[in-house]
Amino acid sequence: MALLEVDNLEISFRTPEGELRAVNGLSLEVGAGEALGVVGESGSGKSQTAMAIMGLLARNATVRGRIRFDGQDLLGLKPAQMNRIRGAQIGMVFQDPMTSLNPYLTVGTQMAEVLVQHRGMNQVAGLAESARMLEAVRIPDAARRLSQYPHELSGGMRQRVMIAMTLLCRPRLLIADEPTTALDVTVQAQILELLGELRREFGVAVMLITHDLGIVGELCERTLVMYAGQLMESGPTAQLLSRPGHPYTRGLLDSRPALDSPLDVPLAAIPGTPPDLLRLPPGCPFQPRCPQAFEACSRRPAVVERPGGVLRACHAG
Amino acid sequence: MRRLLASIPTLLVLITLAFFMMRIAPGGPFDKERSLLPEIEAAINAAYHLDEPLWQQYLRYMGGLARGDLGPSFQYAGFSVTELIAQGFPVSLTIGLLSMLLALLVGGSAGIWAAMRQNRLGDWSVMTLSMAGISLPSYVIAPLMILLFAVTLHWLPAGGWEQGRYLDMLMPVLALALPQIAYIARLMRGSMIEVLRSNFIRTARAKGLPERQVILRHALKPAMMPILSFLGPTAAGVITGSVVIEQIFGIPGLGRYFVQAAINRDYTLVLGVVIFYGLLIVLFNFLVDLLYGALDPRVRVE
Ligand SMILES: Nc1ncnc2c1ncn2[C@@H]1O[C@H](COP(=O)(O)OP(=O)(O)OP(=O)(O)O)[C@@H](O)[C@H]1O
Ligand SMILES: [Mg+2]
Repeated sequence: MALLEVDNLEISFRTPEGELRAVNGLSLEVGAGEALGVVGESGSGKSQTAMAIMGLLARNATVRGRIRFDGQDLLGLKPAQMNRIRGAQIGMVFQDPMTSLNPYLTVGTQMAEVLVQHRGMNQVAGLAESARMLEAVRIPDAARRLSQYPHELSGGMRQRVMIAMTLLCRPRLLIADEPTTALDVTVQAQILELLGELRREFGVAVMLITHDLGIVGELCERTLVMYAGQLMESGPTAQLLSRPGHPYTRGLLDSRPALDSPLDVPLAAIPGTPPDLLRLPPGCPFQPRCPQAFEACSRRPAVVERPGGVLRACHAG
Repeated sequence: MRRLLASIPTLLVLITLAFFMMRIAPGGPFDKERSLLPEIEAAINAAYHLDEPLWQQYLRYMGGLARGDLGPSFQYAGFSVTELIAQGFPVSLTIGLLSMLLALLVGGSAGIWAAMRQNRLGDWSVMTLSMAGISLPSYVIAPLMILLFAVTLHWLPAGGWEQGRYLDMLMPVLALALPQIAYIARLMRGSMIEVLRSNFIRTARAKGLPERQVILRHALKPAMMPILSFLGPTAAGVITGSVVIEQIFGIPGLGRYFVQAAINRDYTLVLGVVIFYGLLIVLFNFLVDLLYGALDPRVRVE
């Protein structure tokens, strides 16, 4: 039994234009201590999948399927029960460090309250433990940082604080939703390196969401590629990067900037745009943009297991 | 501090405008006594310097003001304007502060409550009620309250003001607070909904904090900001006395002095109250700025 098991997850939103189907029958697993990369273009349902696991979907959302964490069915939990898991056993780091911390409260207050809430510590003990955790994420002068406000810290520093905050209760799973997208390239590399180190230090499983296939290679042994809220392909990261089987994975790889390419060269993005989630076609969602599409693709392909632990949903094989 | 000094020119313009507008309006302070003999009228005018050219009166007034002297009242013989304000203001202040406090507590809580039930029945009822509260002016609410609580039920006195009688305060405070409650509830609901959408609230929830703590510790301060800026000028207005409420309930506050002074062309009293009001607005805006700094660390640093 894996630490996290998502089974046939469906997320739809009630909107004035109709039912928006953000996630459509997605299944995934994250084992204890494992790192899974979740990759896909904007709007492919990565963040909403994470929000469903956290129980933080917007009020206009409907969820179906099953999410099991450590054998427990999360979707059936009452809010108070979910609150004991969120922040304690599952932590989440968000994309935008500039706005993800409360500007009105000191770093120390925001960190210590997690320990007060979940560990029943008093404020003093909470602050001391928070200082230790700030050191663990390589923030120098940790004690002084505790009394600072978020606006006094740089973006990279704030993201370190966010990461430290989610690790305070030693969670078993850390969900990082594009944790480096908003940061400078050099800071990005530092944060990714830090995540890798912390993962080993704390033995925490990581679900890293990104739209950059290059990032997952450094951190995640397994990767899942999704499109229109569906699994396209998943498997060992090395395998997907070197021998992508799905045309969509290949498209993503081709649109990646090579490490040595000058920054101003435009990427060879996949032609076309993602499907309208309000009117999903019955077939393979990638069909209209797929260079290899044929008649069979107007039916939705099943997820089939391939050699080497690869799962793929593609009629072309 | 610099803000306080910067408001002095504004105040001077306000005083000057008020001074000349009063004089342009037809009528004078002693018009009612029709049978006044010409000699007596001349004597009175001379005593109050009303026979001097207008610019000279203006300079005389500003000169007095510089020494903190608001002059004598034309209407209440033997009383200086300062004395009258000192008499009326504590009454208005008591009622005003109590009603603002009530409005903040009730309106604020109702707004938060509605925001947490956005677009559901509870929210909808609060918003409908507050819409009614805003559109019903106090000169309608106050007589209705008197009719119900004093005339029909005999629970409360219909009006009047005896030192320290709390029952006298109840209806005026309520009548004054109701529109403010309604307004603050709407304001609080809107700003709370806005804050609840922000990323740092998402973080607070992801930390597993109970909803109560998310609201009280993480959302309340930022949601208070728009209410603070509303509170500054409003509080200044409310504590200087509601003309209508004081008239209806027969309360000897600043507002009532102001109407009577205006009707009777009591030039100095009107001006005095206008200046006092202007000073209070400046003071309250200053206090609001201080509060902003106390609440928002990003303002504090500047
Ligand atoms: N509350 C909501 N109501 C309606 N639609 C929503 C809501 N929240 C998200 N969506 C839609 O769900 C779809 C999936 O969104 P999601 O945030 O999961 O994308 P993503 O893969 O994280 O993309 P990105 O890389 O841009 O972050 C999008 O089309 C989005 O517009
Ligand atoms: Mg996203």
